[in-house]
Amino acid sequence: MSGIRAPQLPEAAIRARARDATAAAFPDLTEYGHSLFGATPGPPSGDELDLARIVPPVFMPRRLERMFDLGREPLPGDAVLGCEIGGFQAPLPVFLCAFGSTQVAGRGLGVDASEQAGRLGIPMVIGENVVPMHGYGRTADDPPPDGGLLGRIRAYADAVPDGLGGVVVQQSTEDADAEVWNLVYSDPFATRLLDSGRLAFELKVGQGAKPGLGGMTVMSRGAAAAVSEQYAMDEAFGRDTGMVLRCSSPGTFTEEILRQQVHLMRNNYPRARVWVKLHPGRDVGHAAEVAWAAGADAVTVDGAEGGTGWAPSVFLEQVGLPLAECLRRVGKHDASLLVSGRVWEGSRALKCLAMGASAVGLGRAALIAVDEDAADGLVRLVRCLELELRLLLSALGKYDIHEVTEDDLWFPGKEESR
Amino acid sequence: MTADVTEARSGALSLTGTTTLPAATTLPRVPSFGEVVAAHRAAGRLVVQPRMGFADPARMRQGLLATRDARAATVGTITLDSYTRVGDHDAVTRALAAGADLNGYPLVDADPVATARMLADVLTPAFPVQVRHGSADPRRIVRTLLRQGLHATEGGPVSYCLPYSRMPLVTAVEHWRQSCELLAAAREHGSEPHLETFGGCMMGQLCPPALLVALSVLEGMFFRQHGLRCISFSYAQQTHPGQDEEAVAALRRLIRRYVPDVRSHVVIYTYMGVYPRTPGGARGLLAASARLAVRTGASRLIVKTSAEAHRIPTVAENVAALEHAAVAARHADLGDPPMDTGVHAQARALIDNVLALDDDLGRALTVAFARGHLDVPFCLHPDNAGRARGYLDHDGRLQWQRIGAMPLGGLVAVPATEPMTSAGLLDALQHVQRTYDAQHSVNSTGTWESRMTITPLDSRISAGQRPPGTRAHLTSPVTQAALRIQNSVLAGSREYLSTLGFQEMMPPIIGPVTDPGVRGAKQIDVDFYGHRYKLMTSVILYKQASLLAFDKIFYVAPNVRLEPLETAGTGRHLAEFTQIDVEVADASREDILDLLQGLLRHIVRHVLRESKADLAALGRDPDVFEALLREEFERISHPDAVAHLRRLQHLQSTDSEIDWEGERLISEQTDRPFFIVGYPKGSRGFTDGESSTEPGVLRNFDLIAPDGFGELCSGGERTYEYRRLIERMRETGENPAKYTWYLDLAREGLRPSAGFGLGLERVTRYLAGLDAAWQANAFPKLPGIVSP
Repeated sequence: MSGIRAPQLPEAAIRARARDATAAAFPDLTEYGHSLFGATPGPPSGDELDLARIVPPVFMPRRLERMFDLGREPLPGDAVLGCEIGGFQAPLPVFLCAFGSTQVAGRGLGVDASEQAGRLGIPMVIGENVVPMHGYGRTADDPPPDGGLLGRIRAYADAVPDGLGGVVVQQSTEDADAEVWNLVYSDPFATRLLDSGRLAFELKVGQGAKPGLGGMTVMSRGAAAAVSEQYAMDEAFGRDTGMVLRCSSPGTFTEEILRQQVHLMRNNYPRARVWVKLHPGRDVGHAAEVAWAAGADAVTVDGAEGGTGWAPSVFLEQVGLPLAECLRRVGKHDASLLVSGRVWEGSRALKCLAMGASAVGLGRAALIAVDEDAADGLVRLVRCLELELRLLLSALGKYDIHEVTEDDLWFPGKEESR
Repeated sequence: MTADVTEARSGALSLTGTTTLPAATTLPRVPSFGEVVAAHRAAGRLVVQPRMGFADPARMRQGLLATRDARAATVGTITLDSYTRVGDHDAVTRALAAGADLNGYPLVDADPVATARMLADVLTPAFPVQVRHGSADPRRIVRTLLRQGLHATEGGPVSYCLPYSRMPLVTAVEHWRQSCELLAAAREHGSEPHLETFGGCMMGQLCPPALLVALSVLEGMFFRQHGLRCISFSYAQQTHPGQDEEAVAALRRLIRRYVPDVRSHVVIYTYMGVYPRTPGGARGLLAASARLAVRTGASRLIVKTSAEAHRIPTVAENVAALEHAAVAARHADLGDPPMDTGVHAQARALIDNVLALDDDLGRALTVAFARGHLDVPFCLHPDNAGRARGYLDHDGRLQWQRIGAMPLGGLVAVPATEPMTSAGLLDALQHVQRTYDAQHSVNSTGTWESRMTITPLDSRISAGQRPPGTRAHLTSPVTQAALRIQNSVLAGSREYLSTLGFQEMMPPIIGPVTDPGVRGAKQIDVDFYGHRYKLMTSVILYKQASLLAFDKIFYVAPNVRLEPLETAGTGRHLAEFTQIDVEVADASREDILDLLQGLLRHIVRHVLRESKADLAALGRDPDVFEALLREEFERISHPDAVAHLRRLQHLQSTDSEIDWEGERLISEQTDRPFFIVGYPKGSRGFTDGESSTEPGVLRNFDLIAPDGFGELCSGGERTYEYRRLIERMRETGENPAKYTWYLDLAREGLRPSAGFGLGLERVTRYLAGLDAAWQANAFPKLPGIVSP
């Protein structure tokens, strides 16, 4: 444990899952036979997705269909969670979000998280500025302390089962200087990923926690000097402190610029998948359409609840569409829509899927889980989420994750449609 | 030794004022070279012999003594240096005066006393020494060796003229006639002189065995006609053990038939082509040659050492090879008699045909080559017809691909299609090396060696597609011909462009930014006093800027692009290559297409005129360029090209560059180069200008060569207005902040222009008909393959 914290998430519950796996999906086992359980009283709190409830029906024609297949009553274990995520196969609709170059992500957690994501067979995104900030890790005489981009890819690739998962490498406007994609695409090590169709590049247009802003990290003056040619530095913390704020430009996008950048990615990297990450802008639906029409394999939307290593407080509190509204504006789509923002357990995941997402990303929760247990924390967290998805899905009388719809949800205060 | 010879030697030596002589005068009659070999053979020993030559007499002597004392039946070798071989005695004298090293012993120009001392006590009745030289005019060599009490040498009027010399064959025949007569005359003074034919080793490689056997026999007959009575007949180990056994059996049969009345034996040469690089592979090949000698009843073996692939071997390495061969010979089993696949019949047909041409064998040989009745594959000598070709069949046997005018019509089944391309040729040249190295693969201890190979790539690029080692590549006749053709391409380009008033400029190598418009290729960063600079991926930005000085410019510019590994096997991609980069102010795309068509035609005419022999040697038919020279290059739009590819069942995307496979496919459909114009935005970098009338369509083009050679050149009108540059930079994912110097120029005004970059290795590949662009590069760097 390195002592990272995530006060906006139920950190204790996440750490419990990282330790105890599926046991943590239930109340304390020692209470069994002694206590009686029920819902916590009082008004629920949280965002719109938290407030929504999952509402199983009484009549379940799909369960009957499944029973025809099986010749017996279906059980939660019969639910099919396997799916496609942005061109990759995954055992469940979950992927590992990008951690950027922040100190939190740089403490070796990146490599441990990568190894566990690989073991789980879920796609993994590697953050935009890992290469400029932490290096690539190609030359043996200069290994970055956290393994660099290559260290993360290697940890993942060594663990991932055949036919599952994939690695997604982000690049933002200012990383273009470091040519992250060219570097990876021409690297001998990427060959095994390319040959098995398990490499994607993600164009980072923006992120949830600070829509309209570029990446930010707090750096020591020494470290800042080393990258001062690539990034602007801001004396936000005063000249008498040892720290400066590194600010990236988010890059300028118009409809045409986004379209052409996607075209160029497809043109230049024909064997890699193309992902586009959008911030929760008010035109997120339109932007997603443009990206898909240009040929993106997946659009990732980071809700305003999304986590980050550093952002101005005003952005955390006041800027950007909440995830539920993003989902509503994008709508259900044939192409992959991937979302993230405070997902850590099964119910929020299922709600996102019901509202049109193809998969959900684990960000801060994954980091905390790996921080709790570097060897298995993330695996346990995901096993727990998987169990909850199976239970919820079968409770809805559905046995394929693709079948969930908004009918399976109830939003307090909204007119019931039937 | 008789008094006459002693006198002759005394005469030579007296010039130096020296009176002490080697003890040879007291020896009884010295057995001939052939008698010594025969004695060993009678005792069941294979005679092994090195190819040894050192400039320094002391070292040469040490080598001869070490050979004599090796644990094997041996005879000695003095190999002469290359200057002596070509008769450049001034160069030898200069080198000796300067103390420079020579690659062999300078017998003719060396101090005769030093040579005499070198040989003193070395020569014994049981240890004769043969002089090896490679000269088309060995008269002085023969005179000198006789003066030194030596009486064995080797070569032949054909085998030391065609492959190694530019001397007319008729002249070499005359020199060799005189040399044979000089040598034969020495019989009167002592032991029987010996001459070995080199005809069975012609070119060293890729000559089907029947021709080798025929030449070996014919040269032996020539020697006999001019007085020699002690002759050995050579045959060099080729690519297939069974075929070699058949060939040597045929050779012995034909010797009995045509040269029955001389003392003769057969000498085998260990493989003379690209040699295995691993010590185990080299030893394995050597052992196979010893086995070949034993199985076929040959008496002598000329060995190679495991160092052969890398450098001139040391004395110790020579001795080790001799002893290894001797051991291998002792353990060789006899095996089954070889299968008759027609080598004997072919060789006999060739010999009979020559004998029918003229009673004088020298004249007959000259006429036979002039008419192409004898025709050595891959031999560039002007007196060789060069219409015959050999190839390696599936089993590794050397076969005829074309027989030219040789009288083999009914005896050879020539394949209907030409199985040998230039990659095939290279592959064939390396067949033996690969086979033996693979059998004896060793764990490389050198880390550099082990890093050379990147695992995933090894399986992706077959051995024939990748360059051989530097030495093999640079000494390959294919490389040399390709590079000469490339020279012609450059000369032709400069001639054409300078006539049109173009200014040639010297290319910048590094800069703060370079051309980003390169599909998936990584740029190379260099540290420029703490600033990140790039090696040029192309000089496009500088070309635009150069137009501030001149209206029409060009660069011959090197480019470095770390291309994706998948391109290593396309035959068209090199990580380091050269472009002829042309830019013209105020030009339209159409102007540039006209210019490029004119340039390419000029280059082709120039090459057809200047590189005739090299094209012929590479088997490139000049007729394939007829349509290029006669008809306009077609101009088809990108959408039409896509539609065409889709008709060919190729799933080409409409808004991307034509992919590599598509490019190859479409290129196979035509007989002359053509242009694809108007690529969609999103397929090219920001420098390619967008049409003002058709948004989304770029005013650019590619030039595609026919017959699958693919893209040779890209170009078009450029983006030059400041605001458009900023927009196009963003559309291509670039950060304008990097391009300060260029944008500053654009803000104050760049000239509208158009131009192109013509890939030099690709054009050479197309003109020479090579399989891969790397063959047109002396030091090729394929993506992902570590090489010098």
